[in-house]
Amino acid sequence: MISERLQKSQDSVRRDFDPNFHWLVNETVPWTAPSKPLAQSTIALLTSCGIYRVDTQLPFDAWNHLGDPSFREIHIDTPRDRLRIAHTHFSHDNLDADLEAAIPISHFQQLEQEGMIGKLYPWVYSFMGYIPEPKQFVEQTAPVIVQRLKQDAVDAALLTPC
Amino acid sequence: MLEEAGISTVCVLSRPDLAEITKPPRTLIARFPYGAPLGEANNVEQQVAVIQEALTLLEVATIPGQLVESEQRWKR
Repeated sequence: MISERLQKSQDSVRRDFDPNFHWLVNETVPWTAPSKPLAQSTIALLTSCGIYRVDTQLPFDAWNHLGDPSFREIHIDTPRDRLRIAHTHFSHDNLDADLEAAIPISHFQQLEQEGMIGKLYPWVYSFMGYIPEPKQFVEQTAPVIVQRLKQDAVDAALLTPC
Repeated sequence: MLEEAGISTVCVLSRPDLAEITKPPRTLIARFPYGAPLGEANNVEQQVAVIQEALTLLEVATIPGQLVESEQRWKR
């Protein structure tokens, strides 16, 4: 049962962008208990705010009504002035002023220095939050990201949608 | 998918109804506007507080699908 607000947004997306859109309702909750203390864990940052690197990456296709299921890998040392936001469904004012509010790289580097976390994984994974047709994201994009994180022994992840 | 691969996750959402349908394993609800998931621009204290709440939830949660409300408030 979706909320009234989500019902309204579903109707609006159907009317304006994708007549087949419907919210995916998950029936179960996936779960893995942390296998080690945070202070020994490698933590990755993932975001659906549509952030990309303007000098080396194509922007997400924000005008595609069916969504853009691709992802971008952004190194944590990327100068902040090289990063842009492709997602058009929210105001960029806050993030234009401070990207830490979505990808808290400096905050997590500080936590690493203080020994609160083991390590910040050096790659941020960014994708779009507007994907009304998620099949390709679920079947192709997400498994690639998961495989890379697993390969590099990432223990945990923080997800920040916009 | 991440959890199935052995990677524990926590997400920060601005509304509980989104968590009700997506069912993330651990969710911190920080009721901020879209485009500001971890807080106000350059408000380091607020952003760090939200991150600490999320990491605490990651570490101590025992109930799959647990939602916790952030104590942080949007002031701008």
